[in-house]
Parts: sequence; structure tokens; C-alpha cells
Amino acid sequence: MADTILEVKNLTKYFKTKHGMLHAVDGINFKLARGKTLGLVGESGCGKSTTGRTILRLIEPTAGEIIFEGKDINKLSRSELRHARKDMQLIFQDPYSSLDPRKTVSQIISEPIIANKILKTSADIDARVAELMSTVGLAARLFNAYPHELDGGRRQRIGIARALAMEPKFIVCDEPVSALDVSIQAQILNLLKELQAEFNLSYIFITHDLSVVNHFSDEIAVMYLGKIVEKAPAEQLFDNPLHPYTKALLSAIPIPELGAKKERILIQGEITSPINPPDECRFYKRCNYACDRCKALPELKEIAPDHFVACHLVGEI
Amino acid sequence: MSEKAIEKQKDLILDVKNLNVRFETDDGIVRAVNGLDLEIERGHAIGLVGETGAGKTTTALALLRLVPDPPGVVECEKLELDGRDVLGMGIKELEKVRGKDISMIFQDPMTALNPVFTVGDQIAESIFLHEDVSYVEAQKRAVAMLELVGIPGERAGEYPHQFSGGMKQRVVIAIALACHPQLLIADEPTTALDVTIQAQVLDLMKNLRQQYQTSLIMITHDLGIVAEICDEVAVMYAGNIVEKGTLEDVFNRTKHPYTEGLFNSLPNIRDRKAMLTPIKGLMPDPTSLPEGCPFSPRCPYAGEDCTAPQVVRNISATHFVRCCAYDRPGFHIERKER
Ligand SMILES: Nc1ncnc2c1ncn2[C@@H]1O[C@H](COP(=O)(O)OP(=O)(O)OP(=O)(O)O)[C@@H](O)[C@H]1O
Ligand SMILES: Nc1ncnc2c1ncn2[C@@H]1O[C@H](COP(=O)(O)OP(=O)(O)OP(=O)(O)O)[C@@H](O)[C@H]1O
Ligand code: SF4
Ligand code: SF4
Ligand SMILES: [Mg+2]
Ligand SMILES: [Mg+2]
Repeated sequence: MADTILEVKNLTKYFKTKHGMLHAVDGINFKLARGKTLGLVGESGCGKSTTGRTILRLIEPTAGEIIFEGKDINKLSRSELRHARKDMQLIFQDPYSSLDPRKTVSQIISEPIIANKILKTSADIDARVAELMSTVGLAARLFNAYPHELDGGRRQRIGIARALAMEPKFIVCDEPVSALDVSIQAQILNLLKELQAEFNLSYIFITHDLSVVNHFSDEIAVMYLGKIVEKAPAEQLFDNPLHPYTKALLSAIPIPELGAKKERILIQGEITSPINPPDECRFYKRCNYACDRCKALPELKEIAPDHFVACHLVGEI
Repeated sequence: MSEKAIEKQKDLILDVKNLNVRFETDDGIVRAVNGLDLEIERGHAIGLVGETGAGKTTTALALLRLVPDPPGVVECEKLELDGRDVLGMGIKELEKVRGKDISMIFQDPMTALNPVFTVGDQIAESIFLHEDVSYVEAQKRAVAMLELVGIPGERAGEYPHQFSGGMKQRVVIAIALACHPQLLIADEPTTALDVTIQAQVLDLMKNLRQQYQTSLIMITHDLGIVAEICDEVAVMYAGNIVEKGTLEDVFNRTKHPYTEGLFNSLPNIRDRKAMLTPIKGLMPDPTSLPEGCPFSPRCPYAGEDCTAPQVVRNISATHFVRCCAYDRPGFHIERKER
């Protein structure tokens, strides 16, 4: 890859729990090219947010390297990390709990600008906040409003404005449009795309909405119980999914068209516990193709150019 | 045939005329539902779609007469369930009707279950309340209901926290269907679930509906789900239905500019490069709705005629739209018929 902004090697995050080690992220690898988007999809609890947060070092990884702009951010000192953080921002999953209820919209958006001393006079700060608000489609009259007075869509816009305030190079977008209505969602997706083109931004785009991730990403990684089970350019993943889980996942998307052909692959049961998972394929318990070979953990292998799959039976099913 | 005569032929499970709900709050009067009419034929499944704040949940609550008062004020000309007047019912009668004739799956499934009772008891309770059976009999039926929704009967003695999200939602469905209601209102029943689990739950709902001939109001913002399990669609905007018709009517012969905007906002799974064309602007503030058509500030076709209150235009016997632009000669929206 020509210009890699981020490389993640063997990224691992375990949480200690009462019942044992919870394998939230279990040795994942990927590269992100500058100006591109990697979509991260998978079911609730598969480790998407933990991956995003660990990359930003909001959570300390258990193991692995996170190489951002050529530097391993685990090895940065506090002040270096603070500097790097300006370039790396997060748009949160939950617009309700991520905003301080006692602060006004303008206070929330200006906070990082003030904390990092980007602008000093209150006139400049207010002007920048107003500009950011209009960029994300927040009416100027909401300048002094409180989050609780706003609906979910507008609250999420505050989060986006706040992330944009630092003019970052890289943003982890953690379900940025999940709480939004489709008409607003489309506005925000277009906005994020425009910003990407304008500032050459790189995104990790976390979502469980597969039509959104398809639209938005250059590459997609499908996670299951802390592992990447398949990774490919978006088009290829949708045209030719190879992992049994990806196949089931894609077939489950309700399509807003009549007579859309639907060969639904129903899988049984639900995602299993990530606590001390056995060393078998993580999809073993739900997989329609599981056989004896699957009792060994499959490696993520490159099956075709840029198309990676972790399944013993790939090519056979 | 006169319209009256056509109406007589319909076998309506639900007939609502001129439903209005407002919330009188300190910040002003929220006009949540504004003159809504809704007819549902027996055995039909109708998708009630629309974005946040459109008034979907409030409409559903009004049908059950569960709108909180205060701050809610409900006015309605007619509310009939299976030919019976619900507006005139006393509390006792209402409680019998709820759960028995009409039942609802609430928007937040995870809080719908009581953490201190076993799931079996929660299903049995509903049966015991509504039907003339012993508690032992009710428990037996509860176990059967659990199995019907794909949960082993021996787990009836477990508590909600021992179940995953998808299983809890299936328990909620089991409770809602335990007394074989004639009309089921499901408010975003799968929004909190993963797609593979959603597929399981939708499949289950489809099967149960066929088995019991239950009429269904499916509240959702996902047009994909509507395409999958409904016969008809009603699109809501700012407290009223702006377009209603069969699936073919609304998906393939779209008429309302807002419905068009919704379709244009959806990422196309088959054409990832297609640009999204969102609806401009935001939902109107329900405390100060615009004059005339509430969609006019966002509508690309808005004209001077749109400032008058909007009335229904019939496109066909099954399809109507609330948009006066259709009075303009030759008017059509951009979205093509398919
Ligand atoms: N601080 C924590 N302590 C213990 N376990 C945690 C913690 N944070 C996350 N987990 C667990 O790690 C796993 C991965 O969680 P994560 O939030 O990354 O999932 P996700 O893919 O983002 O899910 P969702 O789609 O629901 O947001 C889950 O099993 C979760 O319960
Ligand atoms: N108890 C209440 N007090 C005041 N306003 C309310 C109350 N309940 C609902 N509303 C308002 O009524 C309007 C309609 O709300 P409703 O919950 O019916 O919308 P909805 O279409 O179900 O939206 P969603 O998709 O977000 O569930 C909204 O503006 C809402 O804020
Ligand atoms: S390795 Fe085996 S169990 Fe795992 S996905 Fe492939 S076929 Fe299924
Ligand atoms: S009535 Fe006018 S503003 Fe309303 S949807 Fe029709 S054209 Fe648009
Ligand atoms: Mg998450
Ligand atoms: Mg609702």
C-alpha cells in the first residue's frame, strides 16, 4: 500500500472479568491507506468499539502494535501522545451519553479548541464554533442550547462538529449514523465523504448497518468474537463473500425493494461468550459447515489479491 | 359505487378517524398526531414508517388508549377495534381488550420484561389475566408459547437476565401473542437486534402471523423490513399519514415527495457508487409546525398552493397521497415508476 497512515499488528485487548478473560479483540492485523475508509462490521459485542478505542489509546491494548504515521503510539510519551491525539479523533456511538449535559452546544464544540489553545479570543472561538455548526447542519439558534433539548440527530451532529474542531487526519467513526434517521443519515454520510475528499481524511468506520458500510467504505473487515474473519475491498466482499458468517450476514440484510431475490441463510443461535473462548473456529457453534477440521483456529489468509478469509473450508463451500 | 358502499364491504379490524394527540408541555404544545385516519383490513400487515418524532409510537399508544395524561391530550372522532368502540370503553373493559384483542410490543424490548419474575411466569401471567384458565393451565400454555418462539420449554424457569437480546425479544413476542390477539402492534421490534438475529425474529413473526391470521401494525423506519413482511405501507410525517398504499403502490409507484426523499436517502446495496440524495433540512419542530403542508420547507416541489391545509388525493382504490401538487396539471415526481 502506497501511503499507509495506520497499521495495526496483532492488536489484542483482553478484559479481566469475574468469570475469566474476555477476549474483546484477539490479535487483529490491518493497514489503512491515507484518504481511505476501512469499514468494521460485525454483531454487537464482537469488538468493534474496543478496536477503535484501543487504536486511539483510550484503552490500553493487552498486546500488539499501533503504528500511526510511522510511529508506534504505544511507545509515545504523554506529551507526544497528546500531540498525536489532535490528529486522531473519535465520533462516538452514543450521542446521548457522550455529551456533558451541563454544557451548551457551543461549550461542547469549543472545548477541544480551548483545551489545545487552537484559538484564543472568544470572538475567534465563537466564529469557529458557528462555522463548525453550519458544516454539520446545526442551526445557529442552537448555539446556547443544551443537549437534552435536542433530538438524537442533532446531538450526534454536535459530536461530529467537536471531532472536526481539531482538523484531524484520522477519525474513528463509531456508529456515527446509527441513531439518525435515514434522511439525516444520508446528509451526514455525504458530509463525512465531502470532508474526507477535502482534507484527505482517513476513516475507520464502525457500523452494524451493512448497506451503509458498503456505500461508505473502500475496504471492509468483518469481525466475529474479537477476530477478523474476512477482509476485502467493499465491492468484492459484497459480490463474493467467502466466509460462512459473512455469507449469512449479507443474506440477512432486508432490502428496500420489492421482489429482491432473497436466498436467506438463517444461522442458528447467537454470538457466543467471548470469555475464555475455546481454541476452535470462533464461528464453530453456529456454522452450517462446521466439521472436525474446524476444531483448530483458522488463520486469516489471503485467498485472492487483497481478499483475506479465516476459514478452513474456504474454496470448498 | 359510492365511497360509502365500498367502505361497507371492507372487513376492518381497525378503523380510526381524525385522531389528534398533543402534549401540553412547559415548552409549548407538541402536536404529535394531527388528524390521522387509518383503516386496517383483517389479516393485513401494515408498515407504519417515518422518521424520529413523526408520531408513530404516539399513534400506537393512542390506539391502546395509553397516551400519558398529562401531558397528553387525545381527541378522536372514531376508534373502532373489530367494530367495537374503544373510545367509550371503561377501564375494566379496556384492560381486557389490551393483551387479548390488541397487543403491543414496545419500542424498548429490553425494559419490557420484569427482572424479578421468570420468563415463564411473565407469559403465564398474561394468559391468566385474559383468559378463563387456571394458573397451572396458563403455565402449561406459557411453556408451549416459549417453544413456539424457538426457546426450549425447560428454560421457562429462568430470569430475563439469563437470556440474550434476541431471546428476550422472542419472549416479548411470546407474551404479545400468548392470547392470540387480533391485532398486534410491533414498535420497532428488531431495532435493537443484530441482523442475523433480526432475520430469525422476522421469520418467526411472519410464521406466527400466518398461523394465527393476526393483523399487524409494524412500526419501523426500515423500508427493507416493510418490504419483507408487510402488505401495505403508511408513511408518516409530522403526525399524519402522507402516503398510503399497497407495497407496490408505495415502492414502485411512489407519489409523495417525502416518500421519494426517503428512498433517495437510502444507500443502494447494489450500486455502491450511487450518490445519496438526502432530503434537505430537518424535521419541523412539532411545537410550531409550518402552515399548510408540514413538508413544504424541505420539499423540492413546494409551491404557493402548499400553504393550504393538505387533504387526501386518491390515486387509486388502494393508494392515496396527501399532496396538493397532484392538482397541478401533469405533475409528477422525479422518481420513476418501476
Ligand atoms: N471495559 C470493559 N470491561 C469488560 N468487558 C468489556 C469492556 N468493554 C467492552 N467489553 C466487552 O468486550 C466485548 C467487545 O465489546 P465492544 O464494545 O468492543 O463491541 P462492539 O462490537 O463495539 O459492540 P456494539 O455493536 O454493541 O457496540 C464485549 O463482550 C464487551 O462486553
Ligand atoms: N410524553 C411526552 N411528552 C411530551 N412530548 C412527547 C411525549 N411523547 C412523545 N412526545 C413528542 O411527540 C412527538 C412524536 O413522538 P413519537 O414518540 O410518537 O415519535 P415516533 O415517530 O415514535 O419517533 P421514534 O422513531 O423516535 O420512536 C415527538 O415530538 C415527541 O417528542
Ligand atoms: S472454519 Fe469451519 S466452523 Fe469456521 S467458518 Fe469455516 S467452516 Fe465454519
Ligand atoms: S403539498 Fe407541496 S410541499 Fe407538500 S409535499 Fe406536496 S408539493 Fe411538497
Ligand atoms: Mg460498539
Ligand atoms: Mg417511536
